Amino acid sequence: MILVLLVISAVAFFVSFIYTDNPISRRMLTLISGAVVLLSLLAIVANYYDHYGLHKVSVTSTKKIYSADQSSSMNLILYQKIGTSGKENVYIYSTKLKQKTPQHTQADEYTTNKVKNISSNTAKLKTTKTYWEYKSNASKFWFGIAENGHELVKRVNNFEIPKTWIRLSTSQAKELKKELADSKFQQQVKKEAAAYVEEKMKAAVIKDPSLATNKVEQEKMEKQLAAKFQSEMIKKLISKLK
Amino acid sequence: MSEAIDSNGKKYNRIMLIVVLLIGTFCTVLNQTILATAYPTLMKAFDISTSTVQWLTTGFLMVNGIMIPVSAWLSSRFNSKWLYISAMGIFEIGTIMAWAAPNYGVLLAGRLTQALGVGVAMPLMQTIMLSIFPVDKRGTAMGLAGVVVGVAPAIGPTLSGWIIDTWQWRDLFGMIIPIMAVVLVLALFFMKPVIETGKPKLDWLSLALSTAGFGSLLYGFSSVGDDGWGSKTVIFTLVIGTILIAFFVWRQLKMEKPFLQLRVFTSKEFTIATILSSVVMIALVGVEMVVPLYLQIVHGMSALNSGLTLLPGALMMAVMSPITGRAFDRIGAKRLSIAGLFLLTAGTLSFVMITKQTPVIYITFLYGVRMFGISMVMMPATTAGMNALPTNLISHGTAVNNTVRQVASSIGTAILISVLSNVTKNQMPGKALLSSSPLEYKVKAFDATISGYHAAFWIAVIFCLAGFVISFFMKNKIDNSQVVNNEKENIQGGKA
Repeated sequence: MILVLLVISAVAFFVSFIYTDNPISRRMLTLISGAVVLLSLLAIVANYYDHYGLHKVSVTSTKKIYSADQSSSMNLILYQKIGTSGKENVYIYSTKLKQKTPQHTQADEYTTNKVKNISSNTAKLKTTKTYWEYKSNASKFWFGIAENGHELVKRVNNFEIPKTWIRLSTSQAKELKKELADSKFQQQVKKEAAAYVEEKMKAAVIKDPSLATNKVEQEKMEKQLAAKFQSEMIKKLISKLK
Repeated sequence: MSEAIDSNGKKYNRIMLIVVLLIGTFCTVLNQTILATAYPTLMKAFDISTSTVQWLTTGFLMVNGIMIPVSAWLSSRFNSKWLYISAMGIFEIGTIMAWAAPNYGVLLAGRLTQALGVGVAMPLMQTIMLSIFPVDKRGTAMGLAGVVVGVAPAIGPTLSGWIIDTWQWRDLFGMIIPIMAVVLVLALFFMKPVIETGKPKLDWLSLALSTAGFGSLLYGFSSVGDDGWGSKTVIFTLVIGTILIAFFVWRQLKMEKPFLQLRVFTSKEFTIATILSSVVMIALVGVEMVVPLYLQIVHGMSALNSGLTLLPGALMMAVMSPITGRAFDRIGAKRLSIAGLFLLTAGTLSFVMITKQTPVIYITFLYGVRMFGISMVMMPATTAGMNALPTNLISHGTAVNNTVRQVASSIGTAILISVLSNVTKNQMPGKALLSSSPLEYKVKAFDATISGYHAAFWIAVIFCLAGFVISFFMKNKIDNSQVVNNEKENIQGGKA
């Protein structure tokens, strides 16, 4: 509508200044229409420059996320550095189980990502998008033609991940995978793991002799120990990568 | 003015003469800007660099500019029928050469040949239009001419973008050939000698000084965009050009029958009108060049789409030019100029805050407001200047006015483009940021480009404001007694 006003006032300005012969009415009409031209131009500039008639509206959505790498037993959230400074990253995650190619966050100037550890067991992504929206129906009426009513201002991705999750850069993840796949390393780990479990089991049996006869409890413990060993081993590995 | 009579005292069909004149000139002026969007295609087709391909336009505009002062002598020496037909014929030959060009050399030669024709056709059209209408109808006549000189260069880039996308570059020239052929045939029947001619001797030294001087000056200004003001080529050509033109001016003022009559400047009205139309020209061409750059670089538009965005503005000029021409005949140029420059200044001011998200529809309309304003100033101011001159000086007045405008527009483009690129360059973030934080670099680089546009638009605003002030020095419609006197002069001069 603002453009309609601009066109009408500009034409009115031309007509009143050029075609009105009576000097008094010419001055009056020219002054009024000229002022309307200036006001509508001002409103246009205010609208595109200062977002006049618009206000910021934030929308938050939450979704459950899964490990970026579904082939691994670990829960991973990966990030890829965009520049060398490390200030700009793209995060990689999945929104479904058994997802083949994971999602990633947008690589643009509007998006910031934050990662937080939480005590819960499920990982979540809370995305807050802030848009410029028309303040009222009146401002939509005036500036709706510019279609600048749903312009993205910023997008904040808050990743909330359980403590058991591991945050790795993509290059770290690649190296980690390589290390883990190494057969020499695997044999060594197997040996170490066996030794670790045996040692811990012995200590446990000494503490509680009834365990020696309880096969079910033994197996359970062995499994737990193996898992613990593995997670510690991976932590150690990662600290080496970093 | 009930019957149209040519300078041999014979009746002629004025409407057909105007139709032939306007269509022919439109096709020629269109060629000033028609290659703007074809560069990438031509670079590929002939395997040439950007700076080489630019010669197709730079060289064209130079030859065009060189020919304008010569047109004054030509139109007072040769009868307008054969001069027009020759100009169109030369243009047609150039167009055919460009259309069939097997290599870049022939294409360039074709373009320069075209420019020979255009440089004569454009001022000739104005002189003829002014000569075949009485003083009180000249506004309307020049309004029609304004459709040609104002609109043809403005639609050139859009048209060529569309043709390149749909067909191929040869069709840019190919489509003009048949139109021109028809114009040539019609001109044989309908074009008449309407300007009084004599046998003024050609002063070869003046011709040489004018050609070398304006050529050098135009070359200098067009190199500013690439090389900057500090470059040796720019300084050298500008200094040489200025010296040669100073000699040229001195010689013209000394001669009894000069090659180009510079005494037209003794008319205060002509001088003010020429300054005004030059200032407006700077505001016009500078922004006409910067806005498409903004649309293509910041909004990522194609050349064709940026042309389409600005097309309504160009069409505005086509619609308004005849209307403002009529208004001129009623009230003179003063009020029109003030109104036009008010709108032009306000419209240009609306561009200085431009952001990278400014909606495109706003650009279209703000640009339209500018064109609306320009349509009220450009041709009416020129006509007012011409009306202040006696009829026998019109061809010289047109040549002087067009030459000044051509130089002014090359200066304007040079200033705006160099301000744009200097401000952008100074604000550009360091290259190191590109590898460390590319997104931040992108934001800062965009900001730098945007502040370049802001600076360029501010310069344009300054020119608009200068024009606004000058417009108050224009005169209202000359009173009736003067019109009568001028009419008498016309009749005594034996003009139609």
